[in-house]
Amino acid sequence: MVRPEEDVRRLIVAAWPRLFRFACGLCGNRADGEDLAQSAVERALLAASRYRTGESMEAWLIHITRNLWRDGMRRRQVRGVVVSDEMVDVERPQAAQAEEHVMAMDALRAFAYLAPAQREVAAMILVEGLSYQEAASALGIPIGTVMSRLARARSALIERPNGHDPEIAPEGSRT
Amino acid sequence: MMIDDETLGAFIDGALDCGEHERVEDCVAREPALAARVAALRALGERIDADFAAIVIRPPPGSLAAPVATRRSMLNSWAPMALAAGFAGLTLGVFGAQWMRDGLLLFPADGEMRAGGMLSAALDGTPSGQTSGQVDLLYSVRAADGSVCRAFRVSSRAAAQEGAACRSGAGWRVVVLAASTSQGSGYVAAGADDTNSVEAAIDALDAGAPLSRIEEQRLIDGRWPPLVE
Repeated sequence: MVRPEEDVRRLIVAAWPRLFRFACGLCGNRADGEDLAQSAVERALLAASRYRTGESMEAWLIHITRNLWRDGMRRRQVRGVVVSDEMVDVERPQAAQAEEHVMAMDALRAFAYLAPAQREVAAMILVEGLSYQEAASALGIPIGTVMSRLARARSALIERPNGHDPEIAPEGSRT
Repeated sequence: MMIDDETLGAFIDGALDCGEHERVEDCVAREPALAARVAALRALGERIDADFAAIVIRPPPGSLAAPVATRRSMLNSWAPMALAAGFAGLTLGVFGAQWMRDGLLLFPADGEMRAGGMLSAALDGTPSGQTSGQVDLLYSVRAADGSVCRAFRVSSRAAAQEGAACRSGAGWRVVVLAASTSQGSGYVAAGADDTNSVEAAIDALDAGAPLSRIEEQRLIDGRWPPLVE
C-alpha cells in the first residue's frame, strides 16, 4: 500500500523544476533560489499530513515557498537581495557558472531589482504561469492589485532589462 | 486612444473578456505606439521564458528520496524525464544528491543529465584504464549514431556507481548511472532487472568493440571532435 506521504513525495518531485524556477525568481539569483526551494520542500514534507488529496500541489508549494521567502526577508530586514557576480555559487563547476552567466543571469538579475510585492506577482505569473485569479488567491489580494503590480513589474523589467539601474541599487550592495 | 499597461498586459496574457479583447486588438492594430508597447511586453515574456528555462535545475533534496522499499515507485515519477533523455537506467536520490555536492553531475531543465566539472574533466582528458580523482575510466566505444561514449566508475563517499556518458555538444550526456554491480547496495537502479545496466545501455547504443588506445588518445588530443560524415 502506498502511504499518503509517498503520494506527496511524488507530487513534490514532479513539481520540483517549476518550484525551483519560481524560487529563483523570488530570490533574484539561483543560489538563494535553490536554498529557498529546498527549504520549502523540507517544510512541505514536515507538513505532508496537512496536504489534502486533490488540492493543487503547485499552489500548496507556492504558498509555502512564498511565506518562507517573506519570512526570511522580514528576518533579515532587507528589501532586496544582493546580486553580484561574486555571489554566484563558488562551489559549482566553472562550466555551469559560465553557462548561467550567459543564459540565465539577465532576467534573474532584473528580478532582484523589483520591489518584493512586484517580484512575487511577477514570479507567480511570468515565471510560474499562474492566472491572475490564482495569484490573487495565493496572495490574498484583489485581482486589480495583482494587475497593477504586474504592470509595474513589467514596466520595470522592460526599462531595466539587465537589472542595471544607476538610481536603484539592491539592498546589501552598499559598501 | 490611450490604453494603459495593465490592460495591455492582460491583453497579451489572454485575461480580458471577449469584447474587451477585441476592442484592444482593434486599437493595437490601428495605433503603432500601442503595437510597439505590445511587442515590447511580448518580447519581455519571451526573454523571461528563455532565461528561466536556462537555469540549471539541480535535483530535489535528499530528503525526497524514498526508503528502499518504495524506491521503485519513486523512480517511476522520474520516468518521463528518463525516457525523454533516453536513459537506460537512472538512479537519483541519495547518490544524485551526493554527486551534486561533489560537482559530478548537472541536471538541466530538459531532463537530460550532464556530467559536471569533475566528471566532465575526467571524461575529457583521462585515457581508459586510468583514474582521475574519484573517476575510473573503463572504456570508450563508438555508438551507432557516430557519437563517442565512455563507461566509467565513480567511487564517492556514499558508494560506487557505474555509468556511461556520450559526447554531446561541448559536454557529456550521462546516459546511464547505476549502482556498481561490484558492490552490494541497498538501492536499485531503474534498470535493476538487467544484470548489468551499464552494459545493457552500451548494448542499446549499438556500439562496436571498445576503441583502441590510439584511437581514444586521438579523440582526447582533438578534444572529442564530432564525427565527420
